[in-house]
Amino acid sequence: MSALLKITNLEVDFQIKGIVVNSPLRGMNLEIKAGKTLGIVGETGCGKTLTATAVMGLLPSSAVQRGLIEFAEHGALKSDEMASLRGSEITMIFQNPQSAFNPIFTVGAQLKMVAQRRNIARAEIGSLLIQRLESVGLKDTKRILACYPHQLSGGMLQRCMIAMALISSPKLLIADEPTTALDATIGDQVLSLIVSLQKSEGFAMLFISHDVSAVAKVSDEIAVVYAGRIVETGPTRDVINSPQHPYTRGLLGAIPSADKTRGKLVAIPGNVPSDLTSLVGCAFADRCSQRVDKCAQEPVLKLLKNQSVACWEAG
Amino acid sequence: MKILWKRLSSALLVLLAASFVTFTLARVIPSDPALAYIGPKATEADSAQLRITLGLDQPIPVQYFKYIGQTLQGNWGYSLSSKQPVLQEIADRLPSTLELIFFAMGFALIFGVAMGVYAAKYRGRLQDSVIRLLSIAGVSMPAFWLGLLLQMLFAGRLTWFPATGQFDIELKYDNPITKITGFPIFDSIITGNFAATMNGLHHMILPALTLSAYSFGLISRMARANLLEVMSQDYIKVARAYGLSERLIFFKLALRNALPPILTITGLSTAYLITGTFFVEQVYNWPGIGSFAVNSLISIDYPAIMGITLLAAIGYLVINFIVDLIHAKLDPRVWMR
Amino acid sequence: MKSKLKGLSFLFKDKLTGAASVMMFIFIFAAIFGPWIAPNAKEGAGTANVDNSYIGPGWHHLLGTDELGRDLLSRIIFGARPALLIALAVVGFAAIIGTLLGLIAGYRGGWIDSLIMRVSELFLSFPPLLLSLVAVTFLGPGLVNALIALIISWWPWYARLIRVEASIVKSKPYVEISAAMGVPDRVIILRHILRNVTTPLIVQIAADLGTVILAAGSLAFIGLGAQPPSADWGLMVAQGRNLIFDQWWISTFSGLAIFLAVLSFNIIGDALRDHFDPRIARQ
Repeated sequence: MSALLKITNLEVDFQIKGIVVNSPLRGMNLEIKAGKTLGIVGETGCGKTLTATAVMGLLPSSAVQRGLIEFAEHGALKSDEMASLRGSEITMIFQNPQSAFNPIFTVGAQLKMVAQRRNIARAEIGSLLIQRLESVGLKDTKRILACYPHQLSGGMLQRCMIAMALISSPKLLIADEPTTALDATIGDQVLSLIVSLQKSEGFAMLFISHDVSAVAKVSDEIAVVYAGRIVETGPTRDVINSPQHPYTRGLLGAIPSADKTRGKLVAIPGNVPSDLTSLVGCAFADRCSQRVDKCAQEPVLKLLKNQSVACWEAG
Repeated sequence: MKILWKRLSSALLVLLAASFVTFTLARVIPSDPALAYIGPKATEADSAQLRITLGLDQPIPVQYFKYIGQTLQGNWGYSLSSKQPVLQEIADRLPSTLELIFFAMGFALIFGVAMGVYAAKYRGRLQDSVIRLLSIAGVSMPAFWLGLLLQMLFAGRLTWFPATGQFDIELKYDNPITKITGFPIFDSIITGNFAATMNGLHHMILPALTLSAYSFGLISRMARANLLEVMSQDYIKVARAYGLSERLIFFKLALRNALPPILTITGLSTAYLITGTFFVEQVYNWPGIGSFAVNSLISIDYPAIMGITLLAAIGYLVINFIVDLIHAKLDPRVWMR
Repeated sequence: MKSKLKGLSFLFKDKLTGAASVMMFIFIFAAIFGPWIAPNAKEGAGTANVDNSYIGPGWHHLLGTDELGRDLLSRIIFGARPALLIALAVVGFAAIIGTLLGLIAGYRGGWIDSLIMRVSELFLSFPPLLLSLVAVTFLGPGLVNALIALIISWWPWYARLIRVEASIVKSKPYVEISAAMGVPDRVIILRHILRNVTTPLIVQIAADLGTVILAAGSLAFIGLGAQPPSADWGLMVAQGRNLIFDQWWISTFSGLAIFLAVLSFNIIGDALRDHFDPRIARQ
């Protein structure tokens, strides 16, 4: 099965007047197949959201993008070509629903704007919106459509956002930290909702989060990002049960768990390197307990069984 | 709705207090009105007699209540200089000033918002810097100086516009305006007297531009800053992510979000417009409240001064009230608390 | 915060701000050293030289002479000092009075708080210049009365700022803790208030200095402020008012002085605000 979305060697620099000030993405490679979910996990600032922004073609003008983004039958796309796919074949849901909705328009008005953009017949928009809201588990839909964002709870608004994202029946849904701003129980409900919607609607999903457990729940495959590069990727079960990269192990070890007894929470010592532009060798080397001399050279992704790992010491 | 009543009642309270302040200033601070009323020839006896006539011998609280009562009944006293009822003087002059304020505010809003938006769009470039310089110059310019400059340049040297007055003197004979509402230019339009309209507008341009400078500066700065802030909000990014066109985002979304603070500053700048008319009308010989106010101040015509102050306070409150109403309509968060 | 101020380099961060800083420096310089740098100090101070009346700008008199033959450039230079002094006096007193009242209101709370705040709101609900105009009318024309009238209009803003800050700080936990440790809470409150309030205070003072110069000039123009033979810029514009078409230089240059002084204060006020709160600044 060929990939729906294929990203090859995506690099992004930020430049001011020709001088590179930051290199947040230093070579991202990933693939999503139709109807499947790829989870991207990593610390805040590792470049996960930026990847999504690049896929949507919404990088700021100070960004310089290199590499290939291929989507479905459209092939390789430049950022301006993405514009027509945005909001139609590729849609996105965001972390903070209260700030993602415009406070001075009703929820219904905003959903309507999206529907109108997709050239859906005016007469059908009303029923389409109600149907969409019902499909995300909301009742009393007429009232919700007439509400302003601040009148709805976080969970309800997030469901509205999911409904908005599915108006155009997208092929790919990008979910950027959708449950991070929600209470744990609400977040779980939303996650289950997303999973069941995926089954019924059949879209592929790029699920981004720093919360490994959330990612694990919804993803078929996981990609672990560190300092702008993928350090490990593979089927969810394999990566969770036998993580190959020291960073992945650290991430998994840092999760508090009610059912397993562990001695203590293991925090990964050190910090993410701040200056990625002049980085040489493995970005994780400074914090790695398994560092060897070879780590002065940037590791390449090598395939071990089902997983790919970027580490000299793996396998 | 509850909020509206609250605002109304606090506005009334302020009005009451404003009247008290003016009243206090007029009565408590030493200054002999008798002298002003009768003139330098006033004798001691005349002064004493006048004081009784004007009720100045009564205790202060009594005077104040009398004053409030009279004011509410429409008796705003008599101008010491013209001997006419103050309310009459105000009513005669108010329309001219209101028309002036209307045009000045119009200029300020249109140019201010347009340039503010333009500067936001081209942020960081030359257009932005020029507009920002213009804006800050607008709020730094003494109105009277600008008026004199414009007079000298465009009326004196270039003779494009008349230097003073509301209409050409000949207009009274050639194309007199039939008084319907009392608003000269408005009346001339509705009676079809377009010669008078053109003449009036011709006379209006320089004073209105002068008066608009300060508000223009305030409004354009606010428009620019606000638009920039709105454009960086999350919901704009989301709108882009959903493929909404830049034009839709800019005109429908961003502008509507940016409007409320612009309105607020418009209300605020009305205060400056009100006091600005004092100077602009002086310079251009405009027959409005402003020049009346200045003359009253100079001749210490305290009934007139009190009347004008009250009027200004009322006007200011009314404008702010309207601004609040429009603000609430545009931003639902305001009244849903 | 003090460290930020040490880097006065922000005053020259771009051409406009740099130009404004230079202008302000010239203004202050003229205010201090006026009598020594003016081409004709006696005339600047007011001595008439009627033979020289109405000379246009030229080599002998760079900006021309006024209706009494006095060198206009000297008059304008002499006008810098009263302008600056008025601005400093009004803003200074207004800030001090406002701060005191605000502190009392915020610290005490209760009826005195309400009283002071109601009065402030009342004053603030008037169109700004109006109160000063009315006050100076009844006080009588003259510089000192103009000062008083302006101070009356200006203190409420400061009172409100300080009072809001005071009531916030008063209820903060660190006040109680410090009090428990023996430090009198008055001291703590004062220190914390001042720390939080310094930035908006400085920015407002800078802006107000400009506005007050404008207001004082306006009062003088009408005749309710400084009186002749004072070299007040507003007064000078008024004196040249009827001559604007022919002897245009008198009003034009006097008003230009006001404009440039206020402009530079406003620009620097903006730069100060951007410097202390870069979030609001563009970029």
